[in-house]
Amino acid sequence: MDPTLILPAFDPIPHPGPVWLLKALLLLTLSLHLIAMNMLFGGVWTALFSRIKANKGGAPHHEKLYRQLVGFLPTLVAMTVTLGVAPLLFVQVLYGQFVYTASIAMGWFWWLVWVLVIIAYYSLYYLKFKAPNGSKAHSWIPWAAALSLLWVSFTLSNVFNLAQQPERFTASLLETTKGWNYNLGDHSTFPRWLHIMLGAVAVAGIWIMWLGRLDWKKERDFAAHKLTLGYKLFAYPTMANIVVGFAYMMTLPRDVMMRLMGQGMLETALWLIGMGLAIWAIPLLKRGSTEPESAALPLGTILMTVTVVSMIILRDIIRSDYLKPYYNLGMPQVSLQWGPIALFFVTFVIGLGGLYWLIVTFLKGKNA
Amino acid sequence: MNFPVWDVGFGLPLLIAFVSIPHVFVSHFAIGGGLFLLIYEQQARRLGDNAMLAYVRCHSRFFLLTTLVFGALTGVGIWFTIGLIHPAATSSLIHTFVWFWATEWVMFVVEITASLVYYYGWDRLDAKTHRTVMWVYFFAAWGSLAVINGIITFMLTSGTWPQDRAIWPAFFNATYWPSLVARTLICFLMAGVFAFITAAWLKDRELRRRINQIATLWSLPSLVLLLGAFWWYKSALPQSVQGIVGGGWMAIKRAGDVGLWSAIFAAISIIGANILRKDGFTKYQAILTAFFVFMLFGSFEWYREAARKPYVISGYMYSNGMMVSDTTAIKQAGYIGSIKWKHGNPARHGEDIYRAACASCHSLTGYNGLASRINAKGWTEEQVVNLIPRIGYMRGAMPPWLGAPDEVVALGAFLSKEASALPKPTGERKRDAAWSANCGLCHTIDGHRPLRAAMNGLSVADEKDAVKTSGELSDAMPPFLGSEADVDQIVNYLNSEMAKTPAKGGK
Repeated sequence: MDPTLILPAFDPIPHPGPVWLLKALLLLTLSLHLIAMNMLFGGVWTALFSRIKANKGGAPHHEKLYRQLVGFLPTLVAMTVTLGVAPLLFVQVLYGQFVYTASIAMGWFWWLVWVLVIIAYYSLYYLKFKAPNGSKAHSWIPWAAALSLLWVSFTLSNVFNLAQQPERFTASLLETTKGWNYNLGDHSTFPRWLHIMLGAVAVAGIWIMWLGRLDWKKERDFAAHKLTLGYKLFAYPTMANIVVGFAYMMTLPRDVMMRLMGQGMLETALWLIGMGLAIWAIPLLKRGSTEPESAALPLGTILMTVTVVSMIILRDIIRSDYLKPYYNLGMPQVSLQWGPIALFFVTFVIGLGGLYWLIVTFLKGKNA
Repeated sequence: MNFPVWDVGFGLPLLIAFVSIPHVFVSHFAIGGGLFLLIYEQQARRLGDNAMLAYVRCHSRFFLLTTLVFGALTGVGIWFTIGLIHPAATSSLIHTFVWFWATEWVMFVVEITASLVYYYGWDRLDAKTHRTVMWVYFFAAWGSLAVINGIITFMLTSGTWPQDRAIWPAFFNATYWPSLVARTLICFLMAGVFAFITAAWLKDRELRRRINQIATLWSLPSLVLLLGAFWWYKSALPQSVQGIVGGGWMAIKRAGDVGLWSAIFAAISIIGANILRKDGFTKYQAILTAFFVFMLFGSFEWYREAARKPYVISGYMYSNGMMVSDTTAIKQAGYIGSIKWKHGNPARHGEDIYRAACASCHSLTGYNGLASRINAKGWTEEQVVNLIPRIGYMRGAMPPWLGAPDEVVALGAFLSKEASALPKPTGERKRDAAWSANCGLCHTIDGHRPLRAAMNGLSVADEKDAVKTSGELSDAMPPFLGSEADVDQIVNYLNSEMAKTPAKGGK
């Protein structure tokens, strides 16, 4: 079936701001959201891993790290959710017709996202505030949080992958609009999801290394444990991700894939930068794990931040490449809303000031 | 027409209600609750009241867990849900108000951060800074409400925006200010309710008394002022909406009545509890007061939602996602020619039309079930086919029918077939059954398209004749296809009701 026959038309209301600005805000806020998400997702699974190790009578560091991570994780849920609102807003302005359709195909799964996040959120707060030490709750509740977030990640990855492939909006969707349609027949579904989630664990690994570095002077043994574990969490998933990334690339439509293989200057450059810096970061962070006070860890962190951002930009360009036969952002009209744009930026600046004051005030608190 | 339709079976509006009802309560509590923490903390520190300070600190965790987790996530849940159920409307709102939403997002980030800093700052920050953090929270949270209020009120009173697309008048629309004042007062009231409930469980009677005293001082004036704000809100509705409000649609009248009585009972409950119990509310009194306040707030939301019909965005988009500006094109192409997500098979045209034009508000056998209604009213397929093109005249403020004659037949056949699969109603027929199946959809006795004047002075035989030949009066009237028994029942019902309520009322 010709997808253009069923493809929803773009909204007749013009874009209320310059496309470049909307796109820049999308990429900026998505980067912030994904970094928080990476720390949350990788952190939850590391907490679970540490818990299992502790239950099996492993070193006391596992129990300690579990406690430390559980202390951070609820706040990371708040950050991930809060920072996720803005990119969802901007992506709905720019690509709404595709996102709505893909989410309707997965109606119940998409709808369940917020429910699952609440389950994960309350589970983590329960572990932090309520669960008595040594209770069984510490054995199974981390599973509830980790699996809820795993499910959420699969749904989100699935919706946004389907949203860039209108040719998969087939008439079969009409026959089964019960909202239980994951895009499972698509070869790119699993490698793409795995690529993102392995990256999340790797980023969380760097965060855990930083937790080790910050403790280096106070609790050397525990710090060393975090540095070693953090490095492993970074290095192994990153190495695996090089293979998974290639596998994902092979599932892309030929013309999109070829753009990454040299036909598209920007795509190829971003791909090489992302992969090259990640590979470079492996030995650098290895050094950072044994010499935490050296510049290796900050430098490795910078390299991986650039990797994450370049992958996010690449992801966006791949979407544009996918959608090229059907839609480009130059198609809708633009009608600038200067007043509301100014309102947003003024609020943004004041908000940044407020956030700065709140965070600095908190960190400078007397018991800090 | 543009998007596929998610089929949940039990009715999409129920899903929205499931998410949005808890959210509106918690989100308003999140604002008033911030002020609650601030005032009680200030009071406790001023008086050196350690018991009260401990109470505030204890509830700041509850506040965090309620607002930060449940309030924030149900807000996201509403967004996810409306995107699934009303993608066209969600898209329109986001395209129109993206900068306002982005502004609101900044406030949301500040609000969340401030609430975390406040909670974790009890032992880290000095008293003054701690309270300043809550002021930051309160202003960010209220600012967030002030922005979202512009979008919600726009949906009801879009003013001239559909024609001129002027953004500021669209945002600061006719109901913006009364709604903002009403919602702000509701926030205070919700915080008062929170204080009544949480204090009711305290063992320290003296502390309970002090907490109740402060909560009463802000709840009662808020309640009184709220009635004024509601009146202002109702007066601000434009003529086109007033037509719906006064149009005999019972949902709106009921919402208004429930709101008024809930306010009265809430006031009695607060005053009564204060007179009866010097040491603060009992658990039952607190829960009863909360119930009335929730009913009051719920009726306000119900009233707003009901008054917006038949639109989802007033004057721009009907509640089924059909754009007002597309009506001519749809009339020409028909629904089938306009729906993108459809089966190619003409035998399923009725189902396709049902999904695209009806399913955003109706289900087949669940909430607002069309097949259930057809079955309950005992309508034949012919009656259904006669009613469909006239849905725009119904009291329930439905969008107009724009389809071609063969589409009427297709939809009628589909709905009737679905209805025929249901078990026939049993038991005695209600005395207004024939009236509600044949007349009451569009008429009332005195209010909306009143029949009293038309029947005045007619003999019973003439009244029966008038019912039988009503379809000849105009195109808006469907032919009368009921039985002789139906005619008798309609006339009996009409005369008995007219005798009961001489020349007034909205029956």
